[in-house]
Amino acid sequence: MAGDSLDFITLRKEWTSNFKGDILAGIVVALALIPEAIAFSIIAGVDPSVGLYASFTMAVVIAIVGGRPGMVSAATGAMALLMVYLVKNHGIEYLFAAGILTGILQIIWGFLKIGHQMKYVPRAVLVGFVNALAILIFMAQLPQFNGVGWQMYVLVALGLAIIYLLPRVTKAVPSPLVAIIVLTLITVTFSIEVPTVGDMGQLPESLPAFHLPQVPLNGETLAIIFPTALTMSIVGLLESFLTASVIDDLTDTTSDKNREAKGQGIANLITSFFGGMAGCAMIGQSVINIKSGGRQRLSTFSAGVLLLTFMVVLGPYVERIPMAALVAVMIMVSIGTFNWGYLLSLRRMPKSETAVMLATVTATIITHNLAIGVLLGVALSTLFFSRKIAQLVFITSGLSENGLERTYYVCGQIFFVSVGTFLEAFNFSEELEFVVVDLSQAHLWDQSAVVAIDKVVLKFRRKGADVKLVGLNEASATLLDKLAVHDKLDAFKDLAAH
Amino acid sequence: MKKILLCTDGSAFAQVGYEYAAWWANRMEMSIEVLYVTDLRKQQAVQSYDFSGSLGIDSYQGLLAQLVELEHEAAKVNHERAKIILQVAYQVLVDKGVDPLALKLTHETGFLVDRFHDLEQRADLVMLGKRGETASFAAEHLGANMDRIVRSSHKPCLVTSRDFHPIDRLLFAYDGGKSCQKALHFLTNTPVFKGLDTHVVTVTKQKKDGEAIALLQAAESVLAPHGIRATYEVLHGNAEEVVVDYAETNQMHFLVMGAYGHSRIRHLVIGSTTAQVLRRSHLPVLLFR
Repeated sequence: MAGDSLDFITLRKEWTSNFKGDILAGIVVALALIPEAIAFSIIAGVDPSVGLYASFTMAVVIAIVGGRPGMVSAATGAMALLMVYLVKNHGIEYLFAAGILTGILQIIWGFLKIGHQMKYVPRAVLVGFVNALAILIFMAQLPQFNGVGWQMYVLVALGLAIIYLLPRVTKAVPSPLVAIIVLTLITVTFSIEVPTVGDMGQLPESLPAFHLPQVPLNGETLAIIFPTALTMSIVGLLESFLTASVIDDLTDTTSDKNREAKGQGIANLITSFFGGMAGCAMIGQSVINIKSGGRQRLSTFSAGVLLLTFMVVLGPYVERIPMAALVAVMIMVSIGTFNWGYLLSLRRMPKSETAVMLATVTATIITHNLAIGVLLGVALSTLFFSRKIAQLVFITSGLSENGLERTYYVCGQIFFVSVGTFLEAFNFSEELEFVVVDLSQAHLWDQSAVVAIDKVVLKFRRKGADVKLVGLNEASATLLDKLAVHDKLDAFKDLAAH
Repeated sequence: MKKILLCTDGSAFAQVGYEYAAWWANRMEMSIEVLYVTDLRKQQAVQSYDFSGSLGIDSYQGLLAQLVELEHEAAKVNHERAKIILQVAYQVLVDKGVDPLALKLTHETGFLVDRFHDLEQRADLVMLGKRGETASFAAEHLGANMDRIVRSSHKPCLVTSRDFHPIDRLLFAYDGGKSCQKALHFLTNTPVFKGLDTHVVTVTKQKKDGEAIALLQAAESVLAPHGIRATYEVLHGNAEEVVVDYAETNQMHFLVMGAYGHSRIRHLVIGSTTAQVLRRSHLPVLLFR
């Protein structure tokens, strides 16, 4: 992507500097991606092949154009949840069209340097984001238990037991893979009647092929896909940035967020043209990748290629996998995604932070839309923050010896939230000849602040006192100069006096 | 005071570099900055192979703590190593009579080649070993770091050899090119070379001695006014061979040349002739770009 990164040394560093580790991690990730891609296809209401194709193209393309080497992108739960309505009401072709639009929007966000705007999303909201995502992934597994026998519960429990206990014995084989194989063997050998992956729809039998979405090119189509595409573009980037910063921390390296945004866009664009559902970076898979020793672009690339290879080779066996195995893996993913440490620190957190986190989670779970949760979280954080800053306004005053002049010392940020506190501090009924308002420790931020100053000046003036404002910093003075009324009245009076 | 940037990796070749640096600093007043760079890859090579592919409770916080712990240990070992190497360098230099106050020890982590550019800004002369830590594996090859540094450096680079020998006789391979002009200027301006038995040679393949002699006369006209009386000689043949042969037969101790020149002695980046000479000769070579 970025021209400056096309030099040979960087390329070599980003691709082959960790060859063995990357390939081994690629195998682990590919195997872990298969059940997830199938599960997320089921959440979105499309054939498993759609999610699997998406995971292949997303991983391969993002490996080349992404801004965070070692991060895994594929079909994800966050995106799948957003497309449910579109798929149900308009069909899969509209999903592909929406995916293309998502890609275009993300490329635009990338050029607008949206990566720099992540600072407006506070930590409490990010925690809320992952927690809501984890809960939604967990909840999405619950319908699988409807209308099936007790065998399902036993199998899921067995699967979870293998997933969590096997790593204590050996870390040489992926435990979710072992769980899947064991459960499949059990159900096939004992002919246990439980739903299998094959029941959920078509699996890929070939390489994905280029495919134009079969939708009319008109305003109506745009109106249908735009809301979904817009939210998908935002949610996809949010999860990608969030994952990128997790990987940054884990590997003690930096990433290019804006390049990642463009990369996500290109990956979604290509994915949608090849019959895949839109996706984004995955926290869980990326962590698995790092844990397995993957660091560079080759890890993501090999994960994508191997995923499709395994699918084409193992296709006939994959459809025999019982859904119970998939559910067990997805429960693991949701547990691994959830931020449990934050729950423990809840008591120590300021109440407003907890409120923001809970609001983000609740709004997301009600709407199944992470974008709404994040928006609410950011809005609440801003509100709480402005309230806290507004509390830091202190006003003291002193009377001169002859009792004719009072000086008010204002300290703090004067803006729309704090003007109330500011105005309350003045005693307008006092009989004074001079009033000095010392603003050297204060800052005026907005129109409300200027109006409040005006009010103070005019009120004292009406009581017959002369008011002087001193100590304004330059920004405040400029604002006052542009917007205030009281000094313009003076000017008017001056004119009249002539 | 002028400054030598002495790059070390603690290898045998680098040890010889300390002696040359001391020789240099003792003959003219120069401060020495000893630089050791811990290779970033060493720091990050820490790998915990865990193919379980499972995500437990607080998977990434746990992994982060684990990785921080591992890298912390590795970094500590590297710090210790750097400390020892730099202390040895310090001791050697002080024992050879270098003023301890003129010494500075620097340890950085990253890639030597990346960090080098900033560091060389504060130096007037760069010294480094012909080969490094892994020298014993490939005897006739040049160190990869040496090659890259000589290519990218804007300062004169002294590439030191395997053994130290006090310098009495100096050979200057002159081809009239830009980098050789710089070398000429350096010779006249650097008191280190005062009083050495100086030989200036130029190489020509065909029997065009006229041009070669003119070149040497030009060199003499620069050197002579500064009181450097030298032996001038025209050599015939392949530059890399005849220069090295001349140095051997006349028992030269030190070779000065352009890293890439304009006639016989030139190639793409660091000239192939230069590379050949570096490879063949057992002398310290002072290179100019």
